[in-house]
Parts: sequence; C-alpha cells; structure tokens
Amino acid sequence: MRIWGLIVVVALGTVLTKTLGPLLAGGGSHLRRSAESSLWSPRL
Amino acid sequence: MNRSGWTPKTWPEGLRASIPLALPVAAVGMTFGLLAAPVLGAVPSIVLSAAAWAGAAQFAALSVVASGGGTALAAAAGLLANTRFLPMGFAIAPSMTGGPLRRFLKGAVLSDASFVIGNRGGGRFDISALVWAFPLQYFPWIAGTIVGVVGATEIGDPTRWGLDVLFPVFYLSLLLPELFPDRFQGHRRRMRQASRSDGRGFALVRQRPIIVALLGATITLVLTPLTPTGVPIVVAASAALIGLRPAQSAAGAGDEA
Repeated sequence: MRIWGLIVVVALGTVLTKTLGPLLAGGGSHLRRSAESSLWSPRL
Repeated sequence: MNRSGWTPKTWPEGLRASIPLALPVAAVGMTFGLLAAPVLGAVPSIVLSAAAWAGAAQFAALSVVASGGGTALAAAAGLLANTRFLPMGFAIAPSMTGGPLRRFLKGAVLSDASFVIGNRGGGRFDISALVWAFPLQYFPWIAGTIVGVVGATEIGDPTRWGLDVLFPVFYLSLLLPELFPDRFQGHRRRMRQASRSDGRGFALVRQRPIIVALLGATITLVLTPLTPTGVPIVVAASAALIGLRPAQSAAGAGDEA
C-alpha cells in the first residue's frame, strides 16, 4: 500500500513541477519578441 | 505558411530529433525495470514509469526504498530530483501559446530530452518540436520498463551488461551539442542566431555552457558523498544562473574573444 502511495506522490509531484511554470508564467512573450526580431517567426 | 512567413514544419523535426534517443531511453527504462521489479514489484514498477515518466525521480525514489529507507523519504528524494523541472517549465512558458489547459498539457510532456530538442537558443523554445519529441520518449520508456520487469530474472545483474552506465551516458548525449556546437551544425546555427538576437558574441555563448557544465559537475562531485540523493542535482542546477549575467557586459566580453 505504501508503494502505491509513493507512486501517486511522485507522479503528482512530477506533473506539478512540469506544469507550474507553463501555468503561472503565462505565454507568448517570447513569441511576440521573436516576431519583432523576425529571427524566429512564430505561429501566430 | 502563415502571415509571418513561418511554415509550421517543426513537429516532424521534433519527432525526427527524438528517434536516436528512443533506443537509449528504452534501455534506461529497461534498467529501471530490472532494478525496480525486485524492490517495488512488477506492476508498481510499470505503473510508476507510466504515471511519473521521470527517470531521475524514479531512480532516486528506488534507491531510497532499496536501501531500506521509508516511503516518505523515497518520495522526497523523487520530488527533489524533479524540482529541476520547475525552472525548465518557467523557461519554456514564454514560448507557449493557448489557454491554461493547453499550456498544462504541453508542460506535462516536458522531459530533459524534449527540452533540448525544443531549444532554439536565446531562451526561446519551439513548443511543437518539444511536444512531438514526447511519443518517442514516453512509449520506449514504458516498453523498456516492461522488458526489464519481465526479463528481470533472465537478464540478471544490469552491471553485467553495462546497463548501469546508460543513464549518465544518456544525459551526456543531451549535453554534447551544447558543449561542442562545432560538431553539431544545426545547433551551431541556432546558437549563432541566439548570440545575434541577444547582442552577445558567439564565442561567449559557446563558452558559457562549458563553464556551466564544469561548475555543475564540480558541485555534484563535491556534494554527492555529503548530501542525500537528489540534493546534488538541484544545487548543481544553480550553475545555470550564470546565464543571468547581463547581456551588456557579455557583449563586450564576446567582442574581445
């Protein structure tokens, strides 16, 4: 039973650490900057 | 082609770039299955690989359980190893578009390999390439784990086959294009673009990863015998803070180089 608890905690922790940045930091600032510099044109 | 003139052809690039990594990922997954099956059990080992899909965290948690540590300590070791995904997630976030659900899903498929594959230099990431690197990382990882679990008795000690060195070699293969861009033309081109867009000299952009790698390796070597599993990785990641050096002074140094 403890092993399953370990699996749940590690799995949830992994998803949380991976998605916290994308959820909190918003999106698009680099894309806008890239469009302005035209060095790496984004999908708009 | 869209209004900005960019043809969205990056997803095959992500898929293609991840092909050479599929076999090593499967082999590392097999090593995990081999080591985990006797400790965690067959089914929990496979479920852990499928649900967590985080090699470093899985090995960290496994090493604690295998050495007789409690599950709380094992979970802490696993979570500590995963904290590297926090700065990685914040790094890719500005390159993302879409609502919270789409950003959540794209973040969830983040891995060390896809982070490298999607990196376009200058702090920018090709999220399509990053996302399409996912299938050939995730499924070989699970398949490898299953093979390791099923063949645990036949294969026996992983050190006998040299499987124990695969994990560090895999990460080294991800770092090589950063360290030696001259030998990786595509990577060299991206770094040149990054150095131009940031107003930094190419020479400095090329030197910086080497300095970070050496500093990170030194920190890891010093801390490994002194701290619990997972701590050296997190502290060594602080070496990347060198990247915060102001572009102004970096440009000057780069011009001199």
